[in-house]
Amino acid sequence: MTRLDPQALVRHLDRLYRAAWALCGSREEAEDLVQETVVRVLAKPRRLHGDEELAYLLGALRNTFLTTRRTASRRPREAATLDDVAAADSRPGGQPEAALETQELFAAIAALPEEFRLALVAVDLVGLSYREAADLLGTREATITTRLHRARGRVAQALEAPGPPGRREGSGERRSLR
Amino acid sequence: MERERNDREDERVARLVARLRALDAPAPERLRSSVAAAVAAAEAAGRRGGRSRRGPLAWAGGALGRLLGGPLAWAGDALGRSRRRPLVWAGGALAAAAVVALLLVLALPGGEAGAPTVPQVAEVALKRPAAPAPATLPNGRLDVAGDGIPFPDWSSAEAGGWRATGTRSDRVGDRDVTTVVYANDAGERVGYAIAAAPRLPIGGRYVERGGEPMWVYELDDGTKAVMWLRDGRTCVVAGRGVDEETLLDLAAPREA
Repeated sequence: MTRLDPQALVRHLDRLYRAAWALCGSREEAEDLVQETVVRVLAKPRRLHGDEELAYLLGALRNTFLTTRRTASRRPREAATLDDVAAADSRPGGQPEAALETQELFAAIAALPEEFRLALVAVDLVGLSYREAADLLGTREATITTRLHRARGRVAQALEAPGPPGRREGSGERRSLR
Repeated sequence: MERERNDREDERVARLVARLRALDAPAPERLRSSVAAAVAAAEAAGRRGGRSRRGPLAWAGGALGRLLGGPLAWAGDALGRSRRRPLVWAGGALAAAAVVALLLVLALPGGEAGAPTVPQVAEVALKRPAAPAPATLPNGRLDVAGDGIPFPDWSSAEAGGWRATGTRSDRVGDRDVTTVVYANDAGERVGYAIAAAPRLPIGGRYVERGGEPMWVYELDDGTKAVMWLRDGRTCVVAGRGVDEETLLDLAAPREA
């Protein structure tokens, strides 16, 4: 067993951020989710079973999302306007149209049912293998293949459909009153 | 016909996968800075506990170099390199330590000038209310929020019978802090303060309660305070003469 190098959080930050954005559906919530994950991971030394630091960090992100953010992320959200996206994209040479497309892409992923979304995030956004994704999500590779196929199909369809990507389903989550 | 449709579908999905894998959506700089600062702080804490395998200036140099960038990055990088050359490092240790101290003050947890500390927020939570008690709502919440985060109604027996007795609003450092004061039948009083986002620098003793991370602080007069996070806001509950377990129970998640 090896100890997780805290610098792994910095090394994999971009991928974690993209995964968080896809899980939450908004950049602001993604930032909060990543920060909360970082706080949890750094709270005590973490041990890895092998060389899977990225899978470990994605697992931590997913757990943090499931325990703290899922309810919040299901609140109805206004679709982003071009002005919103242009203002949020502070990178030099940022292109508002491309940023808006990215926003729509993440919104479409965030609208997927959870199990499809997690499979797509693990494989297509974070870059885990099917085996690693199956281990992370506690299922079989064949199941990952199926979920991924359906997830990709739904996202592709959502992006071609007119209007903003659909909103998430479901309710009845555990709410903390504290 | 069916085959054509399937082909189109395959093409569409292939384009999507290519797009996903080529996605250019880096983390914002402010997030990168705060993560680097948190990592640096954790490594510093590990080093103090004798668990780190890295040298003291190596972590500071590496983390701060990445955190600060620009003109100050050379200082951090230089410190990191110097640790790997002990003889050279020894000659400049004094100057290096001074630079590290300066950079830590500027950059480590929170990293924002004017951000209050958790004990400062706790001191506000301990003050008397300045406004009447808020109404209770039927969903287990009070009709008052701090930076958009609603305060809970703790008056039920399950929650310990803590009735809201008043509120106050303060400005602490650069943050708005909203506090609800609660009291129980035994005459004990606690204040629950929510400091506006972004979260404050984290310290104190780490504990978990109900699967949630929390930090316990002891104020100068021995009063305990418990801090945790809700959607990026820093929450603090404190009460003079109220024990740590009670505060942790109040802060722990419970079913709606």
